[in-house]
Amino acid sequence: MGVRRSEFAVEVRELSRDYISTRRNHLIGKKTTTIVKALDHISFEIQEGELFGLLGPNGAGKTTTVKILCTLLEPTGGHAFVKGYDVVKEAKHVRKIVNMVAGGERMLYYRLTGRENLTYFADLYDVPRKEVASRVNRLLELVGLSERADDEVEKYSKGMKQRLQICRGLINEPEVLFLDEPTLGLDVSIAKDIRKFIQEKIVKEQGKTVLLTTHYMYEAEEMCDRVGFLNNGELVAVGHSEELKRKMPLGFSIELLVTRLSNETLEGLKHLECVKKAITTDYEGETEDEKIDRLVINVESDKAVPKVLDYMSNKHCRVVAVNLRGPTLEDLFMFYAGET
Amino acid sequence: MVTKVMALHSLRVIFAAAKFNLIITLRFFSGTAIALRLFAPIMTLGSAWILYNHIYQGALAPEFGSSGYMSFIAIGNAFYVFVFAAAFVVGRVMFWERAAGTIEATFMTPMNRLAYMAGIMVAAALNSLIDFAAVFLVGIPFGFQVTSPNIPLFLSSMLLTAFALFGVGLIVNAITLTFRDRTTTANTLMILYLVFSGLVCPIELMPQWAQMISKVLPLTYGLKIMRTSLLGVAASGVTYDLAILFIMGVAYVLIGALTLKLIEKNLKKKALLSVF
Repeated sequence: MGVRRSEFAVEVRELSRDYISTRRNHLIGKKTTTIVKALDHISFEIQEGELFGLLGPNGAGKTTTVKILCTLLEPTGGHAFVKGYDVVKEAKHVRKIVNMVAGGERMLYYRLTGRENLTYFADLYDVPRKEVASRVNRLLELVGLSERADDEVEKYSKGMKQRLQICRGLINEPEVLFLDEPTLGLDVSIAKDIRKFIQEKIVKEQGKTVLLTTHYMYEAEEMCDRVGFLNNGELVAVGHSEELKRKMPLGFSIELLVTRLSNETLEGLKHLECVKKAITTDYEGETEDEKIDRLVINVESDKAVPKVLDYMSNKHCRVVAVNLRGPTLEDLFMFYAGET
Repeated sequence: MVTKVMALHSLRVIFAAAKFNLIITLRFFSGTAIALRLFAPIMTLGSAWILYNHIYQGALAPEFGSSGYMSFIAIGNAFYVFVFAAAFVVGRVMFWERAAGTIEATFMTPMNRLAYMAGIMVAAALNSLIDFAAVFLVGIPFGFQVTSPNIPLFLSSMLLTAFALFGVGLIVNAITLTFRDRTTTANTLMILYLVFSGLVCPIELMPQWAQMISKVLPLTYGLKIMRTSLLGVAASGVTYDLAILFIMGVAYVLIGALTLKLIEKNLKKKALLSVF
């Protein structure tokens, strides 16, 4: 079967996946069937050398999409192509050119050493024999595991296992790499190192195409060229982060730290013409003698700032700090997840 | 050219799967593990010895042959470890891969699945040779003796049985994965072989219906060939059994390979590949 011509590294067309579960309430009772639409006709594409973020809350369909693209799951409808190869009909070709790293310490043989794990997977991927040792050493060095390469994986910390997983994901030098929540459960500094490694080494230096799924919005903000938002199996938005933010109907957010905030003042604030939404958020702070509240106020434009400050002053609230910011990916996430 | 590359890759996969599975086993091999591996044959052969000498007072039907009950039992018991390798190692490899969270990483690679399973079988068979030898060693003080060894025939019986049991292991693997069953399938297979393959009692002494079942089990033929190779019957007497064992092996492996392909497709279709 010939390769389908495609200008994209990944092309997804009307992809659907239903999960069907049957359950019998009693031993001889009637079966009840439930169908969950994990993916509902989604379409998107990823350019060569692009770092694309697939975002959404838990259960949105991110992992399902990745598993279909890695040939680990069959779609119930639609098509997906990686480098022009159909992930169902030409799965063997796809497997040679992709790899996947998932968060959460799995996908490694704990009783083998780090080096043995990588050598084993190099054999399964048919990496040229002459290159195996040098490639394994290079990868271990890249993630800072050279000194522990000959220890069994079961002796590794969580962060070390995750770094070794990244090595496993790169052992076949994949043209397209899928990263499914790669920093899940890692501490801040390790997660930061891994993000830097993906951006600088994998994407910029090696020019690989990467699809990243995450529900850490700052991660996507920091790393991705373009993002897609999945919610309940539907792709609700795709585009460059800045472009999506500009289109977002929520405008700007003013963050205020204030004292002497009463419910009456808050309700009054919500009724100002320039204010679209105002909420108090969890904040534990106080001045020498007064409690501080944190207010997040959505406004259409930055011109609303003096009006809001005047209102707070008139209501005898003391403004301790003001921060005006444009929408973030987190705001977009909340908006698309229906949590605004 | 493409076929040659694929064949070389498959050989590499067999070697890698066997090597790394042996490393995993041997790395955690201890004195206690060796003692435990001797314990099972001591118990089995010891029980048989008590039964034969003290309960049945050394009485033996002519169907057991001229070399004695303990030799008959020792060979049957030694062969049984092969069944264990097929049923419990090959038959549950994917089940354990799924439990350990490595099944997706291995299934994502372009390796030939059958070659991978063959590598597991090679490791399991080599590993079971330790138990095989342990049975014979433990059997000596109980009266096991090789009367007239035929080494080529002995090796043929081992290889052909391992080949056929590999096919059986592939089928067990599919059943284990489909029904998310940890032990029942493997245990059932073990009992089936124990009762119907002539491990503890000559086939000729069994009722007709039991003899019919024994005819479809590869171990029946492998066992007969091995007893012949160690206890002295002319090799020409087992030519038919060698042929049947080979044909049966090919059939089981073909069915097993087909099942392996179908089970992978089905698991991906039903999203059960990583569901433990």
